[in-house]
Amino acid sequence: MTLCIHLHFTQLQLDSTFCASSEQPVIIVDANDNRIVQACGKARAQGISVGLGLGAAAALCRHLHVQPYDQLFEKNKLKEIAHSLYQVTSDISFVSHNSILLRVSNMLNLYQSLEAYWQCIQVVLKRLDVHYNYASGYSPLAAQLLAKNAANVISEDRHMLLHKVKSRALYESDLPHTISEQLTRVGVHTFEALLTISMAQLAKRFDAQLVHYVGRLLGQFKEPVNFYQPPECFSRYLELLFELDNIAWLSKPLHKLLLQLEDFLLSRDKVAYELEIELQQRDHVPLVLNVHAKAGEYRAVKWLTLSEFVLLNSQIASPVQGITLNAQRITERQKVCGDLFSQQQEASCAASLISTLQAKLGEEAIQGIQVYADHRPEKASGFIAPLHPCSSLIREPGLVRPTMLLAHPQPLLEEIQVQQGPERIATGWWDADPMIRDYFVAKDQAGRWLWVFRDPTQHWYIHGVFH
Amino acid sequence: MNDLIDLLQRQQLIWHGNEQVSDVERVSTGIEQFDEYLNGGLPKHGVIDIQASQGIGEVRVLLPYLKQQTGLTVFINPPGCVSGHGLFHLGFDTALILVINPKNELDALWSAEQCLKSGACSSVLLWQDRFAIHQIKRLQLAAEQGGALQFVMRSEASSHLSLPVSLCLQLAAHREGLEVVINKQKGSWSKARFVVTLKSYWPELYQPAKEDKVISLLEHRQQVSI
Repeated sequence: MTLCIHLHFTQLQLDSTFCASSEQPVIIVDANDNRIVQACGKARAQGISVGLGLGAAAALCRHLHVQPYDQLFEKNKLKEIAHSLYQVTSDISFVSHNSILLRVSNMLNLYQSLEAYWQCIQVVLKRLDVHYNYASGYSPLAAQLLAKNAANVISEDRHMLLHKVKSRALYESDLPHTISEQLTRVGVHTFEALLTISMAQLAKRFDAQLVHYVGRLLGQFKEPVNFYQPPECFSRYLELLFELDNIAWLSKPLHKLLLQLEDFLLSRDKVAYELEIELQQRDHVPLVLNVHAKAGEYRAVKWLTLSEFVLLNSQIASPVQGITLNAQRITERQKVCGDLFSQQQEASCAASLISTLQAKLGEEAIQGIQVYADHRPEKASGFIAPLHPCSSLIREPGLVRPTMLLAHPQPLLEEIQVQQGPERIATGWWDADPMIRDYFVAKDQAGRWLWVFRDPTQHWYIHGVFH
Repeated sequence: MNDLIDLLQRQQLIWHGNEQVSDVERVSTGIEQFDEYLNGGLPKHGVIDIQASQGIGEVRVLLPYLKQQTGLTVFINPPGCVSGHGLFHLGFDTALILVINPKNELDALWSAEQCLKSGACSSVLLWQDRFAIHQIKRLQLAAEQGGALQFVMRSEASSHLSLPVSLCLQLAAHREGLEVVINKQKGSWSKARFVVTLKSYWPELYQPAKEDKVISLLEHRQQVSI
């Protein structure tokens, strides 16, 4: 028989809504019958419990924050939890919208003992910061029964687990109401009483459904289980409990998502080059921001600094209700072998510097330089994306060119002393941008070295400065 | 009196300023004469304040040093379009040149600090006139952290305040190159003003001026009549 662990997430929607800073007690109410399905710690301290009606809750506490229950949302969250758990365990199956079944037996070869395995699972769940009940069992149904009733027991001891199951009352199980009532009428109240009746007797006295249930509970009947395999991409959504209208406050909830990204990438030894942050705005189309890391990055801290720069440079039209984080361009991590004794450790990566600068100052503020084969000074060099490899043109050391050019030639208005020249540049007749100029190196009264030219109309201009 | 000084000296109770051995690591500027005056060259990392009016050759004097570098050279807020053409033919690898044009002074300082800290840059040139002392200190720390050299290019007029820099040079135009005054140098005494000849480094630029033989007709007649 295989050992299973059942995880039952008691307040998934509440845990995954961003409400860390909320002062108000929060409850989640099922819209169908107005009963409370989840309540936060502050609400419980006020005496509100799960199952209470909305009216009673409102009477207990005036400042309640009420959210409608959303089963689809919980399903998506559960999928995300499964993604995280998949890093440490392989056989995961969804039982319902808020519970997960883990098949343990196969994993024990890897983890040696159940304790070690459970510890790993707990670490993952702790990072996700969710509330859950758990139990192990030798059949999926037994584990489910114990977990739903908050047994919170992890053991390989068959007798102890069976004893735990036996101590449960029938109404605590998810047996159909008609069957449990039928059993109660004949004096069977607990599983202990039920399990003392032999299968043959059960089959004779009750219907096949109960026999099937008991068989599954004891692990005698095989139960088909579909195991889930998460896809290899990262996309997470975080709903904000409060609408945020200050873009600087978004970094806290964003960090939560980035930590999940870090887990995702780290466990696969991969890096992401681009993140797409989608901010869902009230009554407006979502604002999509792209954050780039030229060298590839997986660390949440680095992504957070880059994202903060991008966020600060952008404007939101209306308050933000939710954040979606998509990782684009995920590839294998390239190992950079640095000098162990060099002062400039790890960070000596020009690409990551450029990503940081571009995130804050904008893409166009950082430029590299490229040289082209042209005699016209305006076209001989230009600005391109940084870190572009140097051109393979032949260098002419004798060429006199200034260190800086003016954006546009300025008329020469002062007295100069020509030092050198002329150098005639007459070219460009083939591409409709012809140029005939005589260039001189000159010095002005203040001692500045200028690069001046005279055009065919005998007008003089300053074109560059030998800084 | 002399005996007393001798006695104190023998007991090592007197400290002479000029005996102090400088422990500042220096790196050559690429111009021998300049190195000599600077007691070995520029500091290996730190902030260098260069006060000069623009266009007299304040960048050209640094080019031999910049050319030796293997890391990035960053120009922040340059007073014109950095001419890749000129630098390329002087022997620069253009892939190592980065030009940043930030919107304001604070962004410029921020990007200088990021560049220095990153360890990917070997020198950062920042054109800005006004600095607060704490800003220079931050740049100094960042430069030490990343092992880079920060050049602060200021115009002469704005340089009233003494900044906590490693080296402060005041440059002025001169017929054969630049006239240099060391206002401040960490770990050594400043010397009197001196001239750095750039002639031999840019023979193409500093060609001997042609003799001015043109004279007015009147002068010519006067000369002939004599």
